[in-house]
Amino acid sequence: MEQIYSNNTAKTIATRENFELHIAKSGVYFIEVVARTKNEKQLHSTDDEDLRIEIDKRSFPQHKGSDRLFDSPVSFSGGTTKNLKKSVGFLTFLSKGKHEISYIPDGSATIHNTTVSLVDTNSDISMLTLSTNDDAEDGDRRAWKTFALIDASFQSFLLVLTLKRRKMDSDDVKVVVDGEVKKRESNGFRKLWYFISSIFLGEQQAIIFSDQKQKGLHYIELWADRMPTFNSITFSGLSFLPSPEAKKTIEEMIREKAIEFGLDPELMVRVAMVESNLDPNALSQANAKGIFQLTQITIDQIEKLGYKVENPYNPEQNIHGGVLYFKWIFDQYTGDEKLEKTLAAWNWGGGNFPKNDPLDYTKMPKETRSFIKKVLQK
Amino acid sequence: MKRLTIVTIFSLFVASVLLLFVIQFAQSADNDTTQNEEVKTVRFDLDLDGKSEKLTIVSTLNSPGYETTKVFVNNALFPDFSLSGYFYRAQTHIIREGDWPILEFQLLTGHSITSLLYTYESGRLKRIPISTENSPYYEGVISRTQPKFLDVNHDGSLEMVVSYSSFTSDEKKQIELYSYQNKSFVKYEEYEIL
Repeated sequence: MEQIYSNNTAKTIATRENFELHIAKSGVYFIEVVARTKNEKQLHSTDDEDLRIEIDKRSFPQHKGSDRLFDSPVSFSGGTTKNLKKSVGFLTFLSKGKHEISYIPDGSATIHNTTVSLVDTNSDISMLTLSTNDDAEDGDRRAWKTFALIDASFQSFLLVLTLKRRKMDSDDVKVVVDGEVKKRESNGFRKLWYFISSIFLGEQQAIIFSDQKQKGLHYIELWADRMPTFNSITFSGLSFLPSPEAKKTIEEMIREKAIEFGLDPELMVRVAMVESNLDPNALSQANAKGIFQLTQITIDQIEKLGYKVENPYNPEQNIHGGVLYFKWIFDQYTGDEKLEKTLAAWNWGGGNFPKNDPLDYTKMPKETRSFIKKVLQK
Repeated sequence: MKRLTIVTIFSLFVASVLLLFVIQFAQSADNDTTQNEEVKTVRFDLDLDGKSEKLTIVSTLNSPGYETTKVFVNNALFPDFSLSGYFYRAQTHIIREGDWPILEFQLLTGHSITSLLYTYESGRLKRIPISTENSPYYEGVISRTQPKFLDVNHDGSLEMVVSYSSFTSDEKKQIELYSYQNKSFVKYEEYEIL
């Protein structure tokens, strides 16, 4: 790995900070951020400190549970880390040129370290080892390290950790992959803690997890109890969807689907841009998902139109469903304002304004007007 | 004789329709999903008498964009209100200590969330006007994000904080602050944030 950027100066931030990263060579990069966030008790407050990271304005929601981005495994939540250091490492394909890393605190947060390393100029890597020998700070059960694999697939990963037996309470590590806690039945009542210190297992333990993950956003979380040491993680069969090509592919997929349904391809790309910035993993407060921000109700309606969106984060399904839904609305209207009415219905629901009367912008919500304006680039 | 028969048939018809209507809603379980209709029941103590009011919410898919929602209070035969949109969530907020809670009722309308606010008066839900620019045509907040209720100015009562234009491509968000005065929410400040 070739380190291209490192900042080890600790800095406490209270507002969003953006860092511009200049990438000379396209390839797979490892971006690691180490930070601390305090809980409300430590702050003598009613709110914890939190921090989340965006890369090129892309946010990283969790796969299960809360929609709150600060609760994602790739965020730093003071409620769980209690001012102990946590590291989050992103593995992602970055194209040559400018990129932006954004640090977004809730309250404040202290960033200790950011490093960026070029892993490989190829998007397919048969084996990748990340080794650091990183000791956890002493503390009770909390989120310790997360690896986020962005638009990547992999066959398996090997974790090597060192766990010591200590007085009163020994080192343990919990492994969570895409929200699923890995269980080890032989650990008895501690089965949720996959790695436990044991005289039989030895101090250094290595386990292979054969998870075979398809292309997508994947999180591997390590939770620590006391002071385990992270030695390494080795991924096999890693493959990344190169980001510029991914965006191009999504745009192309939208154009193709729009043409298939007899719609203006550039219009549909603009709708998707406004909705999600073409992010297949975008998640809104209304639990709207993916490129066309499909809610469960929209998905149910799409099913009634004859297409089942099983996974709204799947670009192909989301685009097919989104374009089909748009086409159905588009066909409901006639006349000069056909397109404006379609966009108003998409944004606000067709039942909220008269179908056959001219659109009354004074009776339209601010956000609907804004949506129409953005899509039509007026 | 003929007139009596017509009256009898008409009475039987009206009785049957009423009976069907009663059966339909009496059978509404807490969460019952039929092909196009979903029935949910939520309970809130809206008048702080120690007994929860039961809201039966019936949302129907209809065709895309034409979803509808009816709300029945305490097993009433007729809905307290009917709305355009599909039920998303309901919650209560106590604006000032000692006041009855207000009900925040949210619907999915297209790709937006419509948030409507109600007080409970004389056994019925009454819409709280919100001084949006077009009130009273729609007296709710329509946004991609949900309003928050916070004591922004530390006066002991909650203000409503609304965030607009929260598309992912947006650099700026518009924030509006509303205070609760004389049974309506009145906008008193708006600004933009990055």
